[in-house]
Amino acid sequence: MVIIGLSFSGCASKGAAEKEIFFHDIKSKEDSSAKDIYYMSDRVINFMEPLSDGGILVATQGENGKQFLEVFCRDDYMGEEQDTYYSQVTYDENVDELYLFNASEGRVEVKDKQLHTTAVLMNDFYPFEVKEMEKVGDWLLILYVSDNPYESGMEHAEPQKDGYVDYGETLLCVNRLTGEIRQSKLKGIIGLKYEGGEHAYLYSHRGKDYTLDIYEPSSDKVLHSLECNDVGYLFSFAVLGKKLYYFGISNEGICSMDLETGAIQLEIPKIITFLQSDFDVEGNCLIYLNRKDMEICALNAASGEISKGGYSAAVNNQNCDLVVGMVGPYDLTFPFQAVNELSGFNVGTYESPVVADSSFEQKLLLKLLAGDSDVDVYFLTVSGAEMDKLRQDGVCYPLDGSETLKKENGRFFDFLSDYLTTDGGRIWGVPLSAYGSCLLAYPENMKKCGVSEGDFADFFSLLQMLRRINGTEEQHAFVWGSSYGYDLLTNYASNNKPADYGSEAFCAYFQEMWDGWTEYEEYGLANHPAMGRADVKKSLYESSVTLDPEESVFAILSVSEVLAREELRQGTKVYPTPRITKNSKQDLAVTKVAIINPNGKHKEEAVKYLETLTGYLAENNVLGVVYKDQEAYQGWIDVQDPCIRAIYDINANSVVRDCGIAADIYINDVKAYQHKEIDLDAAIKSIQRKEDAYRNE
Amino acid sequence: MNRFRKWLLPCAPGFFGFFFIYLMPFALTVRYSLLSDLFSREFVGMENYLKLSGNPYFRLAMKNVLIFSGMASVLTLVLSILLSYLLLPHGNRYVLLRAVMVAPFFIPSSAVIRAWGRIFPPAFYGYGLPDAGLGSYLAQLPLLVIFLWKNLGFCFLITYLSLQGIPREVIEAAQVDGAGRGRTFRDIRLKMIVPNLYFALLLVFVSSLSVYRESMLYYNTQYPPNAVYLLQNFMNNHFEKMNYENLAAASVLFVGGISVLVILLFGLGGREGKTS
Repeated sequence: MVIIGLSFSGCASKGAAEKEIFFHDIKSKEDSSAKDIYYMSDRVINFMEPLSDGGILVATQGENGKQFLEVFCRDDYMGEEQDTYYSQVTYDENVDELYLFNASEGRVEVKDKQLHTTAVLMNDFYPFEVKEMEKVGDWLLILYVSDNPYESGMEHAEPQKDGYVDYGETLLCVNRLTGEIRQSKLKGIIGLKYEGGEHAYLYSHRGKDYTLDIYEPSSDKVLHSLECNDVGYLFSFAVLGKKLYYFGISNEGICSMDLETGAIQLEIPKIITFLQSDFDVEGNCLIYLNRKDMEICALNAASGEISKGGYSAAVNNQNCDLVVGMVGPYDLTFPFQAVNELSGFNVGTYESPVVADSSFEQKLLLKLLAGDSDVDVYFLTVSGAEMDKLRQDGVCYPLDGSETLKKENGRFFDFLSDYLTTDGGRIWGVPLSAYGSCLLAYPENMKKCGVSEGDFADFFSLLQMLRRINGTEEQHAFVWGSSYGYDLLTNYASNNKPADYGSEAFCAYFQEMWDGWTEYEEYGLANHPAMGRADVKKSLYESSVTLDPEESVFAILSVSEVLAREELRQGTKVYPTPRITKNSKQDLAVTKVAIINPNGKHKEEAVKYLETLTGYLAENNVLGVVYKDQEAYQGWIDVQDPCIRAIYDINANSVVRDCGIAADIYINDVKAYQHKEIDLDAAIKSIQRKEDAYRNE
Repeated sequence: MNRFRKWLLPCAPGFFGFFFIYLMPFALTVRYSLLSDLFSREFVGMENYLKLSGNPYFRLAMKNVLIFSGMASVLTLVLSILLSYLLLPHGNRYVLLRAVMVAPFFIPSSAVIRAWGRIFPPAFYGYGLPDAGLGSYLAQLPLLVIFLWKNLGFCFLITYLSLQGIPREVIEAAQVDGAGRGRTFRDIRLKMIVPNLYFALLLVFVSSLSVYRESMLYYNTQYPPNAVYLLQNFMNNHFEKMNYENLAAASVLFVGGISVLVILLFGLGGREGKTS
C-alpha cells in the first residue's frame, strides 16, 4: 500500500478538489465521434484542425510540393491549392474564425471557413517553428521556437537527465480585438492546449518538475500547477475529462495519466502523433492524427470507442494482392494511397513506421537478402555500399520483361539509365527520388557587390569571393542550402573513381575546409569561418533566407525548390554548384528506389504495380528534370526559360552520387587534423588508404 | 545401458546444444560459402575460396592475425612462466598480488582504453608509422600491451597453480640429487606441466583472437593501419557491404585454420604429457 501510494506521488500533493480544476468538463457536451468528421483525401496530411459540428480543416501536400487547404463540413466542401505555405492553424468556434500562420509570408492570417482572408493579425514574424496556436477568449496564443536550436549554437538543446529538451520555446499573446502583441514571461513551456473556458493548459518544465498548468492569458499568469513528473517529456497532449492524454518519449502510442489518481495507462498502442497539432478535443472525443497510418481518428472518452474518418493506409495484409515494405507513407515523395488506387490492387504494407528510421531500412534490406517472400515490393532509402549491392545481377527481380518499364528507363538521361541497369544489362529498379542542387544568382545584386560569374567557377573562387564581399560595407546576403549535399568527400568520389585524394586540388580543398576550424559538422557549412553567419549581419541573413531579390546575391538550393517557385526564376540565373575542380560534374542523388523482391510471391502483380507507379511519377513530375526528351516537360515547365534550360543542362551532364567511404570513416582523420594531432600528409594518406581498402577489400 | 546412463545421458544436453547452436549454423555457413550469392543461390563450388585467397586484404588480415596472435600468446605464456618462477618460492605470501593480476581480465576494455590512449597516443600509432615493412608492425604494440595487461594474470594463474600442484617429493628427490632451483624448474617442474602449458597457450591464443574489440576502441575505425587490419575488420566490412558469401568463405577458412592449430596443440600436449 505504501508502494502504491508512493507511485502516485506525482498527484498526491494536491487534494481532490484542487485537482478538479484541471479536469476538462465534458458532461455538458453531447456525444460526438469521428463518424461525424467528414474527411476524404489521399494526400499526405501536414496538419488538421477540427471545426464545430464534425467539420475539419486539413492541410495536405498537393502536387509539385504545393499545399492544399481543405475544409470538410457536413454539407459543404472547400478546397484550394495554395501559393504559399501554412504551418499552423487554430479555430475559434465562438467567432467562427480560423487563424493560420503563413510561414512563407511570415504573418498570421484570419480566414473564414470558405478560406477567404478577412484580416492579418501579425506581419514580419519568421520563427524557426510554430509549435501550436490556440485562441483563448480574445487572445491568440502562439507557442514558437525563434531560432534553429542547433544552428544557433544553443547548447541547452541537448536532452537533460530527466529528458527535458529546451528548444527556447516562447509564448506570444496577440489580442484579436486591440492588436496588442505581448511576449509571455513564462519559460520552460513545452506544450499549449485549449479545451474551452477562459484559460489554457500549458505543459511546462519548471526547475526540476514537469507540470500541467492552468494559464490565464490576460494576466500572463499560471493560476494552478499540477506536478506530472511521471509523465515526463512529451510531444503532444490534450486534457479530456479527468485524463491527460499524451504522446511521450516512450513512443509506445497515446498514453494517459489520470489527473485524480496519477495512474498511467497506454490507451492506444502503436500509433504516432508527434506534433502538438496532432491532438485536439471536440466534444467528448480526442481527435488525433495517426501519422503511422495517416488517418484521422477519434477516441470517445466516455465509451472508449475509437472511430476513424477518412482514408486509411492500414490494410489487412492477409487479403491483399501484394505487400510493400517501406518507411512511410509520410516519408514517400508521392501519395502512396493514390498510386494504390490507380493500380487497382489491394496493397498491404509491412509494418511501416512513419518517420525515416535507419534501423528499419536495415531490417528491410536483411529481409530481402535473407530471401523472405512475404514482401513483394520494397521502397528503400539506401546509399553507398547498399546501392552497389542492389545494382548487382540477381539481387533484384529484373524489370526488362515489362515494355513500359523498359521504355521509362530509356527516357532518363543516359547516366541515370545506366545506373539503373546492372552489369548484365538488366534493369534493377525504379528511382523514387532524384535530388540535385544548383546555384541561383541575382545578376543585379552581383554587380553591386563586384561578383562575377567567374566567382562561381569552383570551390576556391567561391571562397575568395565570400571573403572579399564579407569584408565590405556593401549590402549583400547569401544563403547556403547546405543540406543538399554540397561537395565534401561525396562528390569527389562521384567524379573520380578511384578517388585520388592526394591531388593538389583536394589537398587545397581539405586545408581550406578544416584548417583552424575545430568544430566539425557534416552539413555545418554555415559555421565555416568564410561562410559563417557571424560574418553576415543578422537582418541580411534573414532577408537572404527568404531570398529577397533586393538584397540576395546567390543561394545554393535544391533544384526542386527552384522549379517549384516561379518567383525564384524572375531576373535570376542558374549555375552549377561549384565543385572542387572546374571540370567536375554535378551530382544527382538517387537514394530512394523501388525494387521487386526476386523471392516474392506476387512478382507479376508487382511489375504491374511499378508500371502504375512510374506512370504516376512521370505524369506528376515527381522526379523533376531527369528525362532526355524535352517534350516530357510540356504542361509543367518551359524548358526554353533560361533558368530551366540551365537546370536541364546541369542535370543532363551529371553523375549519380557515389559517396565512397562513408563520412564516419574519414571523420576521425578530419578531427585529428583539426586538433593538430596530425599534419596534412598524414590525414590525406589515411583517407586514401581507407578509400583503397573500401574499394578493394 | 549403464554406460549410456552414466556418460552419454548427462552429456546429451551439451551435445544437443552444440549441434543446434554451433554445428548446424556452421553447416549453413559452409553452404553459403559455396553459393554465388544469397539471391540467385547458384552453386559455384570453390570459386569464393579462390577469390578470397587471391584477395590482398584477406591475406593481409590473416597474416596480421597470425602474427599478432602468435606473438601475444607466446609472450603471455613466457611471461607467466617467468612470473611463476619468481613467485613460487614464496608460497602463499602474495595471494593479494595474484588476485590483483587477474583483475584486468574482468575490467571492460571500454573503461580503460582512454587511459591506454595517453600512454600510446593514437595519433602516432594510427598515422605516424609506415604503411609497410617491419616498422609498420609497431602499430600492433598498443594492442599487444593491452592484451598482456588483460590476460597475463589469468595465464599466470594457470601456470602457477599447475606448478604448485606438483608433488613435493618429486622436487625434494631432485634436490637431494643435487639439482639447483633453476634446473629443478626447467627440467622437472616445467616438463611435468607441459599439458597444462599447452592448454594455457590454447586459451591465450583463442583470447588473442578477440583483440578486435580493443582495436576498434583504440583506433576507432573499421580501417585501421595495415598492420592491425585484422580478419574481423575484413569480415565486418563485408557484412556491412552485404557480401555474405565472402563472409561465409572467410569464416570457414578461419575456422579451418584455427581447428588445425588447436588439434596440433592438443596432440602435442597429449604426447608431451605422456612423455613427461
